[in-house]
Amino acid sequence: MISGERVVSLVLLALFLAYWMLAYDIELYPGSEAEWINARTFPKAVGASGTALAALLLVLPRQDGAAMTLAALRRLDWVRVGLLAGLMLAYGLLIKSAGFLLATSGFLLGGYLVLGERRPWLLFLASLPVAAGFEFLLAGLLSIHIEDPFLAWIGLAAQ
Amino acid sequence: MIEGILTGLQTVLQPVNLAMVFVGCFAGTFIGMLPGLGPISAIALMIPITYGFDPATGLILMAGVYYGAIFGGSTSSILLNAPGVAGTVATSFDGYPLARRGLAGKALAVAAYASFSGGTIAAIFLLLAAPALANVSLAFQSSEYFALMVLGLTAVAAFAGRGQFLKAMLMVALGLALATVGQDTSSDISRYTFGMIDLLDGISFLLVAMATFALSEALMTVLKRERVDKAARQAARGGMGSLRLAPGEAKAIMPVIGRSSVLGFFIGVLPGAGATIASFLAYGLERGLASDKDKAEFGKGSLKGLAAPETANNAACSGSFVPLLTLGIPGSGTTAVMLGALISYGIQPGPRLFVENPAVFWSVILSMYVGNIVLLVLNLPLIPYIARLLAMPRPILVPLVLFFSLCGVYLISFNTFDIQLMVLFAAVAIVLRLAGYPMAPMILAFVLGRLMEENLRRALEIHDGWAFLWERPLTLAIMVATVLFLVAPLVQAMRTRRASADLAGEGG
Repeated sequence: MISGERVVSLVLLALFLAYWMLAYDIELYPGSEAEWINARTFPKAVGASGTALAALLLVLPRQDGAAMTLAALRRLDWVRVGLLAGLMLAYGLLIKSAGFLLATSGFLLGGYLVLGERRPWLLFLASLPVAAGFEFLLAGLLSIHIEDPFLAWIGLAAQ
Repeated sequence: MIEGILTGLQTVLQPVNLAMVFVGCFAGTFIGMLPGLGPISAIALMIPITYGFDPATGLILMAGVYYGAIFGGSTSSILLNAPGVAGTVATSFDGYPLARRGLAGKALAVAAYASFSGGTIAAIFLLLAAPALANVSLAFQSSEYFALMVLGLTAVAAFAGRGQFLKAMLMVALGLALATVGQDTSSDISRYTFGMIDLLDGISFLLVAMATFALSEALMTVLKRERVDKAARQAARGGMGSLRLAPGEAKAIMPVIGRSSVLGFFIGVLPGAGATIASFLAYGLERGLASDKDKAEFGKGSLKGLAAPETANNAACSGSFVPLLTLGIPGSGTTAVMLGALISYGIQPGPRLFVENPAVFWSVILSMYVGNIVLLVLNLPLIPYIARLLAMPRPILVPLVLFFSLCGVYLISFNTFDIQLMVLFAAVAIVLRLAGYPMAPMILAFVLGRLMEENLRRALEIHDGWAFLWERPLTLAIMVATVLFLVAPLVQAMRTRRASADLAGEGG
C-alpha cells in the first residue's frame, strides 16, 4: 500500500510539474526571449529543480517515518484543528464587518472553548478585556486606526 | 572618526535616547518572545510612534526593538520550539532539546551570553571599521551575492539531518517558487497571480513565516494532543534548572562565540544575507568543525550548537546596519522596514549619511553597545519570570498565539485575504511537517528568492552570460564551497551504506 509520505511526494511532484508548465505561460515583452534572463527563466529553473527533486523522492528507496501511517493519522486531533481553522477563516471574514473588538473577542472565546477551557471567569477575562486592551493599545497609544463598525454603532468610535 | 564617535556618544547618552534603548529592548524582548511576532512586526508597529521623534531617537528605538525581538525570539525558540523570527530558527535545533531535558535555564543563559558576546563584539567591529567595511560590500558584485545565496540555501539543506537532504532541497525549491508569486521586480510582469489583485505584490515574508512556524506549530500541539509542555510546566514552577554554566562548558563555547561573532558580522554586512543565513552558516560551520562525539550531540541539545547561531544572529544584526547606513541597501527584511522609516524622516541613507548626519550614523552604532548591556541586565535575571508567561494553560496560550499571528500580519496589510492565505499555508505546513519536511529551508529560500533572481539577472546582464561563475575568483570560490556542501551528504551516505554493508558481510 502506498504510504502517506509518498502521497505527499506525489502531490508535490504534481504541484511542481504544474508550476513548471505554467512558467511557459508567463507573459514576455517582445524580444525578451532572446535575453539571457527574462520573467520565465527563474521560475523555469525552480520548476525543473522541484520536479526533479520530487521525482527523486518518489522513486528512491527509503524508510518512511511512522507519522504518516493511517493508524498514526487517526490518532491525531483533526476535529479540534479543523474547528480552529474554521474559527480563523471566520475571523478573517468578520474582522471588517463585525469590527475588531467583536471579531477578536469571539475568536478568542471560540478558541478557548474548542480547546476545552470551561471556567467562565477565565473565558471572560481572556477574551473581551484582551481584545479591548489590544485595540486600545493600537488606537489609543499607537494611533493605528482600525475600522470598527460595532464601536462606531455604540458611539465609542468615529464612523 | 573620533569626533563622530563623540557626537554619537553625546546623542545616545541623552536621557531620552537612553530611555528609548531601554523601552526598545524591553518591548522587543516581550514582542519577540511571543511566538509569531518577530522584529518586522515589532518595528512596523513602532514606526507610527517614532514619527514625532528626532530621527536619531526614532532609529535608536527601532534598533533596540530589533535587538530585543531577536533576543526574545530565542526564548520562545528554546522553550516552545516556536521561533517567531527566522533568525532564531537555528536556535531551536539545540535549544529546544535542552529545554526538554530540563535544562531550559542553562539554554537560556547560553543564549543570553552568546547574544551579548556576539552583539558586543560585532558592535565594536562596527565602531572601529564601519567606513572600511562598506568597501568590503562594495567589492562584492551581483555574481557574489547570487553565489552566496546559493551557498546559504545549500548549507541549510546539507545540515537538515540524515535522510533529510532531498526533502530540505525540495523545501528550498518550494520557498523559491513561492517567492516568484507576484509582479516580477524588473519587468512588472505578473507571475502566478491567477488574476488576483491581492497577489500582485507577492506574498509577504511575515505571512509565510507566521503561517509555517507560529500557526502550524501551535496547531500541531493541538493535533498531537500535547498537554502542558514539560519545559513550560517546569518554567511555571521556576524549575528550569540552573542558569549557571560549568567552567568546562563556558570554555567549550568561547571559541564558538569568537568564530560565530566574526562570521555573523561579516555575513550581516552583506546585503540580503542577514541574521538567518548567519545563524545557519554558523551552525553548519560549528557542526563541521566538531569532533565526532560533539557532532552526535548537534540537534539533541549541544551547547555549541546553541551558542553558534545565537552569537551569529546578534552579530549579523549589527552587521546588517552597515549596508543600510553606508550604502542605503537593507541587509534584511527588518532593516528594509527601517530604510522606509529613515526615508520618511527625510534622511537618505547612503554614503552621504556618514558626512551629513554623523549624529544619526554614530548614535545608532553606539546605541547597539548600550542595547546589548541592557539586554543582558534585563533578560538574564528576568528569564524565569518571562518564561512563566509562556507557561500559561495550553487552551489559553494557543488561541492567543493564533490571534497574535493573524493580527501581526493583518495589521501590516489590513487585508483579510492575508488571513485566509495564512490558514491555507498553515494547513499545508502541518501536512509537510507530518511527512517530515523541514520548514526552515523553505522560509530561508522564500526570503532570498527575489534577491537571488535580481542578483542573477544583474550578473547575467553584466557578464553577458554564465561566465561569471568561473571568471570571477570570489564567485568561483563560493560556488566550489556550494558543491562541497552538496557532495558532502552524498559521500557521507555512501560511506554509511558501505560501512553497513561491510558490517553485514562480516556478520553473515
